[in-house]
Amino acid sequence: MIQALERILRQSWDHLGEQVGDLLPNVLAALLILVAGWVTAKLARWAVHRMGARLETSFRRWGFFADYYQHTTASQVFSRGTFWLIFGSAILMSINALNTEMGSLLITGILSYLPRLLTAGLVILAGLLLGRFLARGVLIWAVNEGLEPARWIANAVRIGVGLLTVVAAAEQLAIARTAILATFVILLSGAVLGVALAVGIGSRKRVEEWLDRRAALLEEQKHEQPIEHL
Amino acid sequence: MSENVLRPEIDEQVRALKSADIVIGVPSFNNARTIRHVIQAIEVGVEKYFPQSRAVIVNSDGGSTDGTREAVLSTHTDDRYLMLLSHPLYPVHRLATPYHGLPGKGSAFRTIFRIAELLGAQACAVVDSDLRSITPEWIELLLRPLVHAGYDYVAPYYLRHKYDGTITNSIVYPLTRALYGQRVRQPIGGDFGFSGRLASYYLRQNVWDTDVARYGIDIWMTTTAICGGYRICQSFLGAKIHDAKDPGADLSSMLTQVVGSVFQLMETHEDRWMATNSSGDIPLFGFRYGVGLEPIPVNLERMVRLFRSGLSELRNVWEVALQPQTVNELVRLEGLEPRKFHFPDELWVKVVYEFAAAYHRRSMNLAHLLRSLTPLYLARVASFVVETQESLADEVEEKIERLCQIYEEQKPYLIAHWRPPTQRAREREVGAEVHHTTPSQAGVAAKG
Repeated sequence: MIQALERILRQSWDHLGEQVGDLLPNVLAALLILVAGWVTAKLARWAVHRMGARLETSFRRWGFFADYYQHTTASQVFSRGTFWLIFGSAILMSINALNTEMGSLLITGILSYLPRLLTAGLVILAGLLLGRFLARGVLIWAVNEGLEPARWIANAVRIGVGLLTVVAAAEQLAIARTAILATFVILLSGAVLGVALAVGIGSRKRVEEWLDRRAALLEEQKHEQPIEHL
Repeated sequence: MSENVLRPEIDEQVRALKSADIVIGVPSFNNARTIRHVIQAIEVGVEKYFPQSRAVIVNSDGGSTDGTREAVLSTHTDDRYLMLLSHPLYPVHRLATPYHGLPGKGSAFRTIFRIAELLGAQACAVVDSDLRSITPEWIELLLRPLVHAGYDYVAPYYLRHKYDGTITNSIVYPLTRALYGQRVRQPIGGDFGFSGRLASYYLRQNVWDTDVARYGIDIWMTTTAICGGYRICQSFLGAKIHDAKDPGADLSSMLTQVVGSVFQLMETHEDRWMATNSSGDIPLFGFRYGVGLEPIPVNLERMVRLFRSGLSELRNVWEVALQPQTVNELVRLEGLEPRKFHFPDELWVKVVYEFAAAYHRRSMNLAHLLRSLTPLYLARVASFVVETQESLADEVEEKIERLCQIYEEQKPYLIAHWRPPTQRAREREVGAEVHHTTPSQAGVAAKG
C-alpha cells in the first residue's frame, strides 16, 4: 500500500518535473524577451525624445502641440508611442514564446486586427491634432471678435472634431459601427435641439440679452471707432 | 534682365511708346468715386511741374465692378499717355482682402516697375486711387527729389490725426527705424516716388510670389530701398484723406499682414539690422504746415475689454511667445480702469520684440501667433489714447519719438531673443573663454 503510494507520488513528481522542464525554457525565453523588450523600448523612448526637438518646432509651428490645454509636447507623444509599440510587440512575442494554444490564438487574432488598429490609431492622432489646431484658431478669432463665450466656442470645435474622430476610428475598427454612428447622430441632434430649445424657451431672455449686447457692440464698432490703424 | 511680366498686348503697347521720362502708377480696385480726381491731380501736376517731360500714367486695375475703368477713360487726358491695365489677382485675395482693400497690389506694382524699366523712365511714382486730398503738388514733391537731387526713393510724410496710423506709430515706424537706422516716418504710406534704377532693382528681387509682395508691398519697397543702399528722402504732402473705408474691416487681418511682412523682412535682412546700432534723420522736402483735422471719437472701454478677454483666454498662447516676466507684467494691467489705462512703453517694446523672436523661432503657427497680438495692440492703442487725450500734435510726436528711442535702446534685447537659446549659450561660452584668457595669452593671440 505504502509502496503504491510512493510510486504514485514519484510518478506525479516526475511528471511535474517533466512538465516544468518542458515549459521552463519557454517561460524563461518569454521573460527574457519581455525584459529585453522593456529595455529596448526604454532606450528607444529616450532616443526619440532626444531627436524629438526638431519635430517639436515643426509641430508647434502648426499649432498641434501648443500646450495651451495641457503640457504635452510632440516629443513626449512620439517617445511614449515608440515605447508602447516596442514593448507591446515584446509582450506579443513573449506570449508566443510560451507556445500555448490560447497564446497562439491570441497572437493570430491580434495580428489580423493590427492593420485596423494602426489605422484607427492614426485617425485618432490626426483628429486630436486637428482638433487642437482648429480650436486654438477659433479661440483667437473669437477673442479678437469680442465674443464672450470664446472658450466655449473653441471647446465646442475641439469636442466636435473629437467626436467625428471617434466615429471614424470606430468605423476602422469595425466596432459597433451602427451603434456609434447612431450615438453620434443622437448626440449632435440633441445638442442642436438643446440649443434650439434654449433659444426658444428656457434661455430665451439670456440669449436675447446676449444678442442685444452683440448688436450694440457691432454698432459701437461701426460708429465709435473710426481710427485709421495704418 | 528682368522676367517679362507683361501680357503680350501690353508689352507691344509699351514698346510702341519707346521711351518716357516719368511713369506714374495708380493701382485701383473699385475706386470710381475718387479715381477721376486722382488722375486729374496727376495730369495737372505733370503739366505744371514737368512740362518738358514725357509722362505715362498707368492705371492697373484689379477687376473693379463699380465703373472705375470708365471713370478713368472719361477723364480728360490731354497729350499725356494713359495706359489702362488689369493686373492678375491671386486666388487667395478673394479670401483675404489685403489691408488696403486693393487686391493684387503687389502684381500691379510689379507691372508698373516693368513698364518703367522698358520705357527707361528716370523717375516714377505710385499713388493710391482712393485719395481725396491729393493735389498736383504731390506729384512735384514725389518726383522732384528724384529728378533734380539724385534721390532714389521718396517716402511720403503726412500730417495725420494723432489717433490715426496707430500701427505705423506704435510698431512699423519705430521698429523700422530701430532695425535699419533710417527715420522714415511713413514707411507704409502708400504713395511713393522712386527712380528708374530702383524700379529695376525691385524687379530683380525674388519676392513676387510671396506674401510680402501680396500684402506688404509698401513696407517691402521701403525696406528694400534702405537695405539696398539707395538714397532716401521724404516729402511733406500735407494731410492724407482717404475715401471712406469699410468700417467692418478686420483689424486682426490688417495687423497680421502688416506685422507679418515686417517680421518676414527682418529675416531677409537679418545681417543688416543686426549690424545697425543707431538711427539718423533723412532729408525732408516740402514746406511743413499745420492742418486742421477733425476729432476722432474712440471707444476705450471696448479696447480694454478685448485686452482683458485676451488675458483670460489667450494667456496660454501668449506664454508660448512671451517671456514669463512679460506675461506677469501684462497681468498687472488687468485691473486698470479704461480711463486710467497705461501700457508702459518699455513693456510694449518688449512685447513686439518677443513676438518678432517667436515669429523667427516659429514658436507656433504664424497666423495664430500674429493674430494673438491683436488684444495687446488694442491695449497699447487704448493707453496711447488716454495719455494723449489733451496733447497737441507736437506733444504726440514727442511721445512717439520717446517710444522710438526705447525701441532703439532695447534692440540688444531683441538680438538676444532672436537667436535660439542654444546659440546664445554657445556665444556665452565663447564669451566666457575670451573673458578667462589671461592678458599674456590675449597678447599672443593678438600678435598671432
